[in-house]
Amino acid sequence: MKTIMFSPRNTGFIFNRFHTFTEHLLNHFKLFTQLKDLSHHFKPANLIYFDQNSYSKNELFKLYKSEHIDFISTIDTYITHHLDNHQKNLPDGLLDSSFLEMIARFHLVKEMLATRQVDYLFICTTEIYLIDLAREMNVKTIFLEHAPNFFPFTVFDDTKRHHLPFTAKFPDMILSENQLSTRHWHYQCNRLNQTHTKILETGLPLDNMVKLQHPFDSDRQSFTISIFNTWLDKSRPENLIENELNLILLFENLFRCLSDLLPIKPFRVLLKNHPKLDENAYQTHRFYHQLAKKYGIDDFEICNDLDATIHQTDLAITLGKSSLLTDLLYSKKPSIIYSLLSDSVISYFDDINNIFPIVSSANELHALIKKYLVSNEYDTHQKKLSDIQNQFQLNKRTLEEKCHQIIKYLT
Amino acid sequence: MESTSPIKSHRLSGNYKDTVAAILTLPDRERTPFLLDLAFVQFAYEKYEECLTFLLTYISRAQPKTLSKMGCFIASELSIIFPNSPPLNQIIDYYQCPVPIKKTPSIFKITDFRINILPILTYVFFGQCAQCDHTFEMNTNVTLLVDFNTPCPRCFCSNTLNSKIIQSFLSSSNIHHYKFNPTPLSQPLPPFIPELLFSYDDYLAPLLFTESPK
Ligand SMILES: [Zn+2]
Repeated sequence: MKTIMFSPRNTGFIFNRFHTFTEHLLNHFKLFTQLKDLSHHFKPANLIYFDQNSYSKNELFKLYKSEHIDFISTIDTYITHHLDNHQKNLPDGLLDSSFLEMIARFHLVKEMLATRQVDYLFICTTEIYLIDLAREMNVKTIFLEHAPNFFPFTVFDDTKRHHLPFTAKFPDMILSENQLSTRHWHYQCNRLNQTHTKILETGLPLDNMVKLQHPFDSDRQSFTISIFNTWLDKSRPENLIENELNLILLFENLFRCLSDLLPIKPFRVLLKNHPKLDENAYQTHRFYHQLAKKYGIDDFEICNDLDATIHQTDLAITLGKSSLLTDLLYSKKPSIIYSLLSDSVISYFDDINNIFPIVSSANELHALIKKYLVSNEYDTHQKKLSDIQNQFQLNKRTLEEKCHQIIKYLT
Repeated sequence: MESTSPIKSHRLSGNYKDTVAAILTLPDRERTPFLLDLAFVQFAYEKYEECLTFLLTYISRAQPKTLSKMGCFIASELSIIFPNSPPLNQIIDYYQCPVPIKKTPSIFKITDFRINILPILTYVFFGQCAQCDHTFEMNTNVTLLVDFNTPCPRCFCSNTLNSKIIQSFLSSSNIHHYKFNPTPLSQPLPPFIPELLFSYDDYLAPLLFTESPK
């Protein structure tokens, strides 16, 4: 029986995204893990626990002395480059404690791989720092994303790379969600010369993919526009303050625009926040309720359930290239991207750009939504989505089928 | 009675994360006097069930002869949310807590600002209570699109922090003079470290802003 392992990040997703997948895996593989309580949730027969020696701070610093020096100098280069003529006094111990946290994860994986022969390591797309380590230990690495995305792949196109460049590295295998993402991964592999990587179109075995929709257009009352709200990735310096302030303005414009459209044809507005924003609902929700009140949008509601929101949606507005667009496409919901970032990347493929119109100003947004309210834009857009679905055979597999495909390939 | 314990001073400064952390370092039997502080923190987070639990546990364990101003504040505010709770009504009668006065919240006067990176990215706003001038902090996580009230940790008057106030503070303060150079780094970097850093989404950029503006 072969042995598999989840990376530190993917271990964090076992319970809320890879639960079913892990259950299936445990019927065919040994799972090597540092999580002590997995046996409460899964059949214990094939679980192998790793007992980590505890390391003191000083021991870790000693073991990774040169990495520590490199780390400090990298941060120094980064700050000096991006903040000219500015004296930086970072709070005492901040860098050391961050370094320890990071290197401890690396060390954990290193120790685990040294203890036992592992065949496959599932890593998240941000964990490419584990690829060389795994290779040295003869372990095959596999990209297992925790959310599907068929837009230009953030890892390798993101502006973060401009702030801190590194050479892209691909694992031995990539699990791809569908024909569109496979096409995308192939493009990326060729572009970055990563020809050794195998792309397996097994589907992503995620618990939280949108459920296949039962047709229930029985008593639809009014047209529903849903806003799928995101949070700004704080790895970009401009997202810390500047774009947060821009986002406040963007929401003002969005609500004003919707308010202006209401006399044309009444509709209701739903808002689905990213879960990160709902963690502090008591701080965030009133912001949106107040906006709705200010602009006289009476039929406004904040929804917590993603599936329910998608099912009730006639027209979706997202604020960026969210992985939700996959769910919206699978559910054949016409979607508009109201983009905050002017430099927002578009797909390499025109057929994708064609199904997700992007607007970046309130005027454009107004004109576009109006089409959905008064002309047959809704039907036209839905037809495009159906065509893409048929052409690329999207959303055809159940979660169980995806799990079996992956297991079949790896055994 | 002003106490100088670090728990009280964390709570008075509005730093509720450290308040809770400091209480958790105590052995269980020594936590009793601070159950009221925990109730206050839960109240500030608008977690009213938890707040009530801490209040009731405090009363039953400590059996105080009188209830502090903070205790009375919590009890009377909770009675608006749980009007039919017998133990709560008993407490209010027994300790003669005043009926809460409905006042519109005052605007929090922001005076300073900081970004904390660890353990999670937090925007920390320092400012003054509009009623009593007490200085304390109000925090938001992840986003500046907020609108919420929190009681002043000293006089318990409600203070509002919202995007409008944040916007006007950040647009006028020195924070925008932190111009960062958007051109990519061209210097060679040591291997491995950039990849390692890459797995920590939220880490690097906030380093540029961890210092508070002067
Ligand atoms: Zn006050």
